[in-house]
Amino acid sequence: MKHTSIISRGRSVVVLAGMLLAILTADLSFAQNSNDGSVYTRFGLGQRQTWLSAKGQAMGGGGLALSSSLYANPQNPASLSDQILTRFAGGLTYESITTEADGFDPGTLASGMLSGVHLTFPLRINKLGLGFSMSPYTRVSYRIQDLGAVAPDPSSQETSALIKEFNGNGGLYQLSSGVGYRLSPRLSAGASLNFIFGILEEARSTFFNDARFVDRTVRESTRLRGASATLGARFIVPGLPEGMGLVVASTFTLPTTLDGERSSALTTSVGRDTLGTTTNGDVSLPMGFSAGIAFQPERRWTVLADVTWEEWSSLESDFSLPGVPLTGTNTLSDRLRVSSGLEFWPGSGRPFASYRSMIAYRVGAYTDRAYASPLANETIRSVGITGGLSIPSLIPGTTIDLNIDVGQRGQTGNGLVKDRYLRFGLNINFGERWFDRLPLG
Amino acid sequence: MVALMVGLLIMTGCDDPTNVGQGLLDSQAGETRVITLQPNSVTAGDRSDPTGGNAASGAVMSLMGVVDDPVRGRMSSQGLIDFVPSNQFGADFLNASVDWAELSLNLDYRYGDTTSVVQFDLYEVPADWQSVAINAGSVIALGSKIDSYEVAAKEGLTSFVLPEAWIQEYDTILRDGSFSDLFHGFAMVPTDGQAIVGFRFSESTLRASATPGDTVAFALSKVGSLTSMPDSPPSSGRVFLGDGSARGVDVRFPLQGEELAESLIHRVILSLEIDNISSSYPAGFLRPLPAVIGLEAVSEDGESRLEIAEVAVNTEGRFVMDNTTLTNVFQSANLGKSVLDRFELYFPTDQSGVGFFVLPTTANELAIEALVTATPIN
Repeated sequence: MKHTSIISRGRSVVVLAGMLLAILTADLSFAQNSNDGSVYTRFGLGQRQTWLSAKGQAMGGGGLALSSSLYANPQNPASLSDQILTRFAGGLTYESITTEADGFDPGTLASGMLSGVHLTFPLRINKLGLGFSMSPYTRVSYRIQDLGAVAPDPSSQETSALIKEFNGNGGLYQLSSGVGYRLSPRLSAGASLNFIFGILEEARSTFFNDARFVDRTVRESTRLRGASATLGARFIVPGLPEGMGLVVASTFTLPTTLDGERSSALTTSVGRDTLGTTTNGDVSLPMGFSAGIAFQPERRWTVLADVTWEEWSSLESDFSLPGVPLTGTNTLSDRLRVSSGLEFWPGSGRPFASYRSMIAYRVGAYTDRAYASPLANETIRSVGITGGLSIPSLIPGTTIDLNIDVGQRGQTGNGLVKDRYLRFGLNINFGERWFDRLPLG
Repeated sequence: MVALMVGLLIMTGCDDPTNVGQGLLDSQAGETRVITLQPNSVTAGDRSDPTGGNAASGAVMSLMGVVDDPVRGRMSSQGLIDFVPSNQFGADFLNASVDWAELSLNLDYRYGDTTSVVQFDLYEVPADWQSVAINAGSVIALGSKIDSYEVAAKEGLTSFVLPEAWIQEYDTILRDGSFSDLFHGFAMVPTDGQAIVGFRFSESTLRASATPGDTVAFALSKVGSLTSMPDSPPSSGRVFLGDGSARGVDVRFPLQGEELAESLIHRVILSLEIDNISSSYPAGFLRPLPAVIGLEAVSEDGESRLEIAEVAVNTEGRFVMDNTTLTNVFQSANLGKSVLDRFELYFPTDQSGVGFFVLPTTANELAIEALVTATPIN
């Protein structure tokens, strides 16, 4: 009976995982085609994205030191050592942005995107674990339209209206595989290999509502790929009173170089024509350092603080990128992200608590100084607050996590743009025992 | 919950695109503007105007005559005409000897002094000729001279009775079932006059009879005109664009470089304004001008040709070409994606005259310009 139950449950895992993967895959292609985000995503390699876990996302977007039997945290490979269940998790994010600038009417844009997906499992319970994850590394998604007019024949008074549209989409994704090992009861270490790939696409179109004109779009695609590595460590601080916990963690991501190729094409309603020849080049990615702390004054409460620093000012590119010209100074600076969060889980440590007590409540706040800016002397900062609920399901070890993120980015001075954004996240976090050999007899 | 998220994702299509942020793009985004592009060369080209035609296509008239044009100089046209039986002839004609024949030609075009009389010699054409291969510079061998004639430069049907000697020589051929293979037409070679006249297909016939009252008709089936006219320009900085001329006009625009950097080209309006030279002509000098002008994009070797437009003169006296083909030709050339070498101006072959335009070729007088609506790419 037990055997049958495990097989049945395994099948349900596969079915559920397949469904989730299908949704996420669909969303991935959707996100690649979407271009309704902030104009700030245009600069550099796109807006940097980080997704540690659904839990961390609701707690300010950090959580490097988090480790739990209910959540995997593949962004810190050291945490992969602490696993009991095979875990599959993924999330989608819906984002609505209201953008405003001096002298312009506000505009509203909305898009959906993949938050991330990962599969982790223990090789030896709470000793050695493996994980695979994929999440956006950067995101390019913007669309700006401007109305204009042109007088095609100066000898006549006739003018024709036109729409100029600038849009970009795509971004880089990070596909990682990592391993974590518990070196001692308090110290874990891990490493991951990250394959970074993606396409950054920019398009500029001019449309006319007049058949005498030919609408044209010039589209430039930059395809990048490369690998990097992340080293991580996690340490449980000793000497704290019973029931209290303190964990510190850090990761270091090595700098790397992405191979790239760029092509341009001219498109009309009837066809596409490649422009020039495809050019090849490299883009360097900077090293990054992250550190985090997680503190539990008692089992029900968890407090997080995280900081991430990435040396984007050292970026070099053989391709001209918005904010990174081939000659002259670029507008990049080092990225700095600081976040903090709080979780209250009334039912923590009480497996037979009521359903309501098993819901976890999370809040957080963060500030993020973007690495890319339209102007050399301006940094673009995001400030936001986050919140979320973790709702347990009828399947033990599986939760549905709902997140919200409200914030603003940039400012309206100096010709810049202020984005006010609202993000909703839906995450599924599925865990179950796999690969267990049944005892005979 | 999943339904809620799917709903939210669907809502992503219901947004309000904005121009906020445009200020952050302007430095990298070219403005759409109209560039007035003048040719960097307007020169006489090698295009010889097709002047042959048949009832279905090509030239519609055979030109013949000579005229001293005050601007262009002496222009001379030698006309070619050929005939086919217009129907199955009856036994009365086929079994008797032809005793009378005449050319009845519909004079429908005049260029020059309309009071003058054009004198010409009529020749046999000894060998077959293809109307589609005839152009202004073609050479056609002449056979025996048949007779000399003259014709007043007046519109209407005019007849030229063929001599008895020719009738005797061609008696059997005129009645032969293989007439079209045995007879190759006439050549009308002008000897004097001050006008060039044109004979149109309609109503033009070769008529013959074997017995009084039983006249048969051979319909005009092919025409051709071999026109010679001076190519030397009327003055420096001018070039002729002539109907029926052995030389055309080539136009080259600077489609790459400083004047038109790599751009998205949305529309091209190409206009041609002709010199008004009517004051150079005396009163009574009839000078019908072509009403339609054509433009072709041509590769360097002349093998690749793309017809862009054939347009009529507008009310302002300008020929204006404005279509997607022209725009796309400019676009391809601007991006270095075409084999375009030049544009050739021409007159459509269904205009069969000797009218011409004078086009300035010097930079500050150019009568050809292209208004290019373009957005720079970089």
